Order: sequence, then C-alpha cells, then structure tokens
Amino acid sequence: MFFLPALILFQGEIGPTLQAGSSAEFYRLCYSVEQKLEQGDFAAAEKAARMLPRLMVSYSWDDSKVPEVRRAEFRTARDQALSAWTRSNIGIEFKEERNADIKFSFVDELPPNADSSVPAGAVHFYSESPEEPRVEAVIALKRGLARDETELLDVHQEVAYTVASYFGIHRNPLAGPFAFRSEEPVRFQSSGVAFEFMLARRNVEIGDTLRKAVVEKRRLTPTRPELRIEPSEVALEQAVQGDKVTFSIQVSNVGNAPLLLRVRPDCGCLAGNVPSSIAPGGSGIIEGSIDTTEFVGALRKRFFVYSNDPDGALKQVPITLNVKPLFRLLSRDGNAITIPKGKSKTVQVFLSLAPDANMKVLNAKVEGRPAALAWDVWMGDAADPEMGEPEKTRRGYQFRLTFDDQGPPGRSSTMLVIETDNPKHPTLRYPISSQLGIVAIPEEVYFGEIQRMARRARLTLSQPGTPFRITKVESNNPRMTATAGSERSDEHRLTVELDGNMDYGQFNASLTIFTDDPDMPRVVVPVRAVVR
Amino acid sequence: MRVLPLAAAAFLTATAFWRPSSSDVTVIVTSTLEGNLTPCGCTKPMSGGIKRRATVVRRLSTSGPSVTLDSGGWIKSSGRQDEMKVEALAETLRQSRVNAALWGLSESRLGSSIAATASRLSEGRLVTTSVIADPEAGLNRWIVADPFLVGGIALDPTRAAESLAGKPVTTTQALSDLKQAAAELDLVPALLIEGGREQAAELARLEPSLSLVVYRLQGTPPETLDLVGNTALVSAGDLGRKVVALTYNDGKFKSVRVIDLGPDVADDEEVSRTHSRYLARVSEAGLLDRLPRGNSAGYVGSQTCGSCHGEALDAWKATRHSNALVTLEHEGHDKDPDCVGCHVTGLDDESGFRSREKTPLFSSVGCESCHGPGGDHVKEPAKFKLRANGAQSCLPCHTSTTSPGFDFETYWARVIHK
Repeated sequence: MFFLPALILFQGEIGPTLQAGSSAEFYRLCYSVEQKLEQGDFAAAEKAARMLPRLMVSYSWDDSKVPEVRRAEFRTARDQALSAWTRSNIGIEFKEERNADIKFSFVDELPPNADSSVPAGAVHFYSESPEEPRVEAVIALKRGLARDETELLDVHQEVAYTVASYFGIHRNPLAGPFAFRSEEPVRFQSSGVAFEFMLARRNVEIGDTLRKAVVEKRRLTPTRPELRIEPSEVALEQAVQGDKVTFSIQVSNVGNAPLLLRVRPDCGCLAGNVPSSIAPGGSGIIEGSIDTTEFVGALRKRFFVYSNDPDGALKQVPITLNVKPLFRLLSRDGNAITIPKGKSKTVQVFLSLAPDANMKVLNAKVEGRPAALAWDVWMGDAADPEMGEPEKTRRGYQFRLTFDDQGPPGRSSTMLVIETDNPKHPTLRYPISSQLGIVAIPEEVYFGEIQRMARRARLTLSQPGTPFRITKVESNNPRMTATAGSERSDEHRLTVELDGNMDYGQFNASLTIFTDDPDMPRVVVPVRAVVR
Repeated sequence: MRVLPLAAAAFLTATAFWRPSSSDVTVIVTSTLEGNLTPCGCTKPMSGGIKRRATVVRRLSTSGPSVTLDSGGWIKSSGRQDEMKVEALAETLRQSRVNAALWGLSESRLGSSIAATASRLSEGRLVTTSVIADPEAGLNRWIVADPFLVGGIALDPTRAAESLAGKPVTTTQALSDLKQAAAELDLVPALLIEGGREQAAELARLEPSLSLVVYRLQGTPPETLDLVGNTALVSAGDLGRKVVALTYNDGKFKSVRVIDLGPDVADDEEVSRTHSRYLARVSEAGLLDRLPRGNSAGYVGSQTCGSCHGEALDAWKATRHSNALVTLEHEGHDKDPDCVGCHVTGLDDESGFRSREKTPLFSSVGCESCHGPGGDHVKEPAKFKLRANGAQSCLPCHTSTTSPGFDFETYWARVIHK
C-alpha cells in the first residue's frame, strides 16, 4: 500500500492523472515530485523531476562481463530493440552516453525473485537521484531453471522491457508487448503494441507537466486513485449452452484522483464494457457477458483489469460458470462399428435436447460411406457417459442408420449431418467409423524414434463375427519379421519384430499378410520407425 | 533514493545461488488437449502446444526431484487421425519423462490394440484404475511416482472396459484398491480423473488419504491452492495452454504456479521432431481423401462468381480469405483434416477441395465458403438465390480457440462487399 489515506481534502492544485497501465515505480516518482512541490521544496522537486521520462533517452551499456565473442551481436540485438521503440513514431530518440537515464550491465547468474522459484533473467533498480540512472537493468548471462545461455532474443526482450519500464509502463503478463518479459529464455520477438506507445507518450507529457510546475513553482497536491473490485471473483449460476450470460462487477475508486480503467478478456467468448474513468469516491460497473455457445461443462475465464492505481496496475478477475449442454448426440453403438459379412448393421444415434431447448431438426443426411437413414421425434432412455450421466429418460430425435455390407472393404467414415433451425447450431455432425472385412489395427505399425536395438510391436487383424486364417506373413525388409498363430479366428494377434540391425535414419517397410478369406486374400500393413 | 525490488536486494547479498530445497518435490501437471497438439496458428500469438509444453516440463523436472502427471483427454473422437495423435502423444510421454498419464474413456474407445501401441510407445506410462484390462494392452492400474502412487478414474468404467475388452471396476472399489496398494508400498495415493472439480471434491471427501486429485476444467486453471481437507484439487485447464507446477514437501502441498505456454516458450527439439513425424504421417495417409463428403448442387469456384459479381470478387481478392491455404502451408498443416476445412472451399463435398494441385479453384476461402455451393445458382440465378450472410457464416471457423479476439463487426468491415 502507498502512503495516502483515502479521500484527503485538497489543499491546492492536484497533480496530473496517470493512465491505466502505468507502473508503481512511475507513480512513486510522480508522487515524490508532487510532494516536494506541495512542501515548497522546489530545489528538491527540480532534482526529482529530472528523473521523469523524456523522449530523448540516454543509455549506457556495460558489456565487460559478456564474453568478447558475443559483444557485437548483443549490441546488434540492443540496437534492434531500441529501433523498435524509435519506430513507434512518438518521437523517441536514443543516445549512448556515460551518465545515462538507463544503464544496462550483465552478470553471470541471478537468484530467483521472491515470488518465484525460477532464477531471474534480469533485475531492475529504480532511482530518484539524478546522480544515478533512472533505471538500471542487470541482465543475467544464464537464465531460467536450466540456466541456458542468454541469447539475442533475450537481450532484445530485456532491452525493450527496460525502456518500457523507463517510460513508466507496468509489466504485462502476456507475450507480444514490449512490457512483457520472462525469466526463462524467449523464442518470440516482442513487437510492441499501440497502447504502449500511447502510454509512453502520455507519461512523457506528465513528466513535462510536472517539470513545468517545478519551473513555475506551483504547489501541487499529490493524489492517487485506488481501485476496489467487488466481487473479486465472479461465480455465475448454471447456464444452458448458447446462453449469453451477463454479469456485473463493481469497480470503485476510494482514492483522491481519477481512476482510469481498461479491461481485456482472456477469451473471445468473454466481453466487458467498463467506464473509462471513475471520479474519486465514485464507482462504476463493468458490464460483462460470456457467450457459452462453444462450451459444455465447467468453465473458468479471466478479465484483466488495467488501472492507474499504483498498487493494482493489473488485476485479474476470474469468472466461473457451469454450462449444461443444449443438446447431446448419443449412441449406444459408439463411433466405431463393424459391419458383419452378409448382414447389415443398424446404428441408433439420439439427439437429446435440454428441456426448453430451442432446436428443431429440419433435415438429416448421410455423407461418406452410404447408409439408409430414417429419423423421427424420440423419447426414451439413454446414458451420457461423457457428462457422467447414467441412463435416464430423455427427449429429442432418433436417427437410424442402416449400413449394408456392400462397398470397399476396410475402414471408412460416415458423417451423419443434422440440419436444425437453431441459428447458433445450424448443423450438427456425428462421425461414424465403420469396418467392413478384415482390418489391421493399427493400420500402420509405428515405432517412433528408436535406438538401434531390437524392438517388438503388436498388431491385430480382425473381422468380428467372421473367422479367417492367416496363411502367410511376408516382410519386405530383412531386418523385420512377423509371426502369427495359424488357428481360425475372427481376431489374430501378430508380433512384429525389428532385429536391432536396422540402418540409421528412416525405416519404412511393410508386411503383407495373406489370409484364406476370398474377399480379402491379403492385407498390407506399413511399418515405420526413425532409427537414431 | 534507490528503490530496490526484493530480488535486487537478494542479488546484492547472495553469496550462493538458489537451488530448490532438497526435500521439495515439484509436481508438474499438464492439461488436456482435446485433439489440439499445437495451437492452430491461424492468428498470433497463441498459447499452447506439446512442443512448448515439453520445454517447460523438461526445465521443471530437471531442476530437482519432480513428478510429472498428464491429465489425459488427448482426443475428442475416434478416427484414424485420433489414433495417430495418440501414438505421437504416447511417444512424447517418454521423451518428456512424464510419470503417469490418464487413459480415460476417450482414449479407451480406440480399443485395446491402440492402447497396447500407446503403452509401448510411452514405455508403460498409461494408467487406469477403473479397468482391469487385457494384460497385452499394457495399461497400469497404478504407477509408482515416488512419493506418490498414481491411479486414474475413467468417466464410465463400464464403457471403458467394453472398449478395452477388460473388466470394469467401480470408482469406490478403484479408490479402495489404490489406497490399499499405496499403503502396502508406503506411498501416498494420488488420482487423475476425467471428471470436474465437483467429482474431485467428492473423491477427496470420500478418501481423505488422497494427496492430490487432478481434474478437468475448461479455461484458465486456478492460481491458488485448492484444498479439501489435506487433498489438493488441481487442474491445468484445457487445450494444452498451461502447465501447473506445485511444490510438495513433508506430506503437504505448499504452493501452486500456473505457467502459460505462450509464444515466448521455445519448442522442445525432440518433441518437435515427433510432431513433424505426426504431420508427415497424416499427410502420407491421405486422410483428406478419406473424409466423408456430401453431394451438393456443386461448387463452381470464386472466378465463376466473379463473372457476374466482379466488384465482390475484387473485394474478396484483397482479403486474407483469398490466401487462406497459404497460412496452413507455412505451418505444415495443409494436409491436416483438423485445419484444412476452414482454409479452403467445399472440403465436405464431392465437388469441393481435394488438393491445391487437383482443385486450385477451391484452394482458398472462396465466395461459396460463406454463401454455399453455387452450382444451381449459376444455372438459374433468379430461381436459386444463395444465402445472405451474418455472423453464423463466420463463427464455425472463427471460434474462440482458432480466432481469439474475433469480433464479427470489426472483421466484417474488412471483408464487406456487395
């Protein structure tokens, strides 16, 4: 907490209002200047005001601890980060000099921050004394739990971040902005966002305002906004899929300066309108909504609330909700079926609707492997294992797909396509994989990345309900063999073996399995590995 | 005056660098994937993916004693591509030295042969306490991950057992079996479950000796320790976007940390190779050709539309829709059925997209992706009007996962035409 009681009586002109997303360090510096002005200590105020950010930024670069071979490329990475800031078109210029606003130096390793177990990638010192740099960044040459070498992207990130902190921008938890940083190595180059450039510009203007107040010897009263969020976590009642659930979060300003706010959701399903500013002592409402169309089950999403409260520049508000499905597609037969030889197979699919569901089926069709389709309104008992629901009475529609044993053998796909009048769910799809004849499972024997040693895998050949015999197995690679029993069965388990003398690199081979089934006299199974 | 953050003060005084306390065990929990091995990459930056996840797991697990638990929930359906995903993911368990992964109902549906393949590729890291499976399937009822004995509870043991040709075990019995086995081995029982927090809390109340229950949740995992009695309830969220790390010491969980797998996290080399092999297998298996397709009035291609709607065609050419397949080609997902449908025209129809070579006219998100097939309309324009559009045309592809931050009004303004 800072040092001001809430709602003091103003003695004079109040200081400038900081923007949402400004850092606590920047607030402290502004406060320090304003406090000195209020006390009439203009010489001290002038000294402190020298540390406020300007568009002309000086920096010093001490890379004496950096191995000599890396110094040039580190400087290049630094220059790229500074150039990225310069390209913001707000008039920033950089110059290298000895007694600078920003000092960069390096150290071999750093301990973790107090709230982390990961060794720090850099530490930052903030000074209010003109004899010292405003920001000093000490960058570790080894970073993260594995103590990796600091690479060029890390240097880029640390430099870009340090400049952001010089301009009084609060650290951002999400990658992309310059104000993001990580203790672990990064592999993504921050490119900055418009909001940061706007904020940097605004904070320089605040610096100018305070410097002018010093010159004019105006007495300013230091102020600060203070954000309160109620509730700090939103637990919503149960909703039905497709509902747009609305909720309110009260935001109050118990400080004595205007509170500025920005809200960003962590999901496209979440939206929120927030008052952009709240007067001292006032309050406002974040009108939030969550669109549940894409979700079923327990949900937890977040709002990021950025403000100019120096103690709460970024707060997170979790939103929790349990979403009941609007509809479920259920089948006792599952998604994978077998079509017996000489017979047909019927699959029942139920469209179970929530009570009061606004959904009528307009049409249904089958795509892929053909099946005769009949559908009707339905009420009956069905379980929903994925929702953890036992068999119970449900209502909706039933679809009967009848597959005959015609068509190519093997596995193929069918899609039941259901057209509805629900604008959010106009088309529902239920996939069915059907097996006809003898099928190898898995279709390909995959060993993955292996060392040069003997390996064994299992392969199943099945034709449920129709026994057959394996008469011969041929391998097209001398390093591979396969064995199978000779009994008559509707399921055979084969053992595939690699002898350990395979060549290094890709191992692509195949097995040809001969059967006594006249419809499928042979089945070819690819075998794949990478030998390293 | 110098303002020193705590870390800086520590930096100034540290004589020896930090190492984890010798008795701390880091428990690493990875989230469900629901078939998303990597973020789709259509927009950037996106979080998640097995390549980044492996980097974080490797880092956390090599910094001291650790146990890594995978929540399962790898797939959402049970087709050939799902089998390939399972094989790739099983391989990554071995590569990342994960101790145990839940083999739940969704994975069980692939059958015992695929379970056996996954078990072989993971080198025995799959667990289900809910099923006594065929021993050849290679599934464990529990796995020793010192100091824990890790079990797994499937949503519907009966159906899971049916798929695995095994014997179902009720949840109460599974819990009792796990507790007894843990006592015999002098270990602490921990559970991975397919259910949500409610079920996790119920299990914790039913069996207070459980140290940890890892449950399923959509969205962002809680950042604070959630205890029921002494049992920690933990979720790492969904879609492979986070990793959760807990500190366990002296029989208790002390802290929890949620790690975002953002673009700042490097890809793990070994798992990247596995993912590349997965994409190559998907491509070579020709899964696009095996997709079920319907018979519509026929797609005609945007050039045909442009012969009457020239201005609209010009407007479309200036949009990213006209180049949508290129994005996938850059990411290596241009033969991936999970992705291609939203980057071409008419993938679900006999007359639509097959490949860039065979059907160049449909190798983009063309007019008919939103307006529907134009076969009838070009024959009799007055009789067969194509549908007018609204947000419904966009939302099947621009979901909160594939298109985070999508706002219909903003994006519509970019593609608007007459």
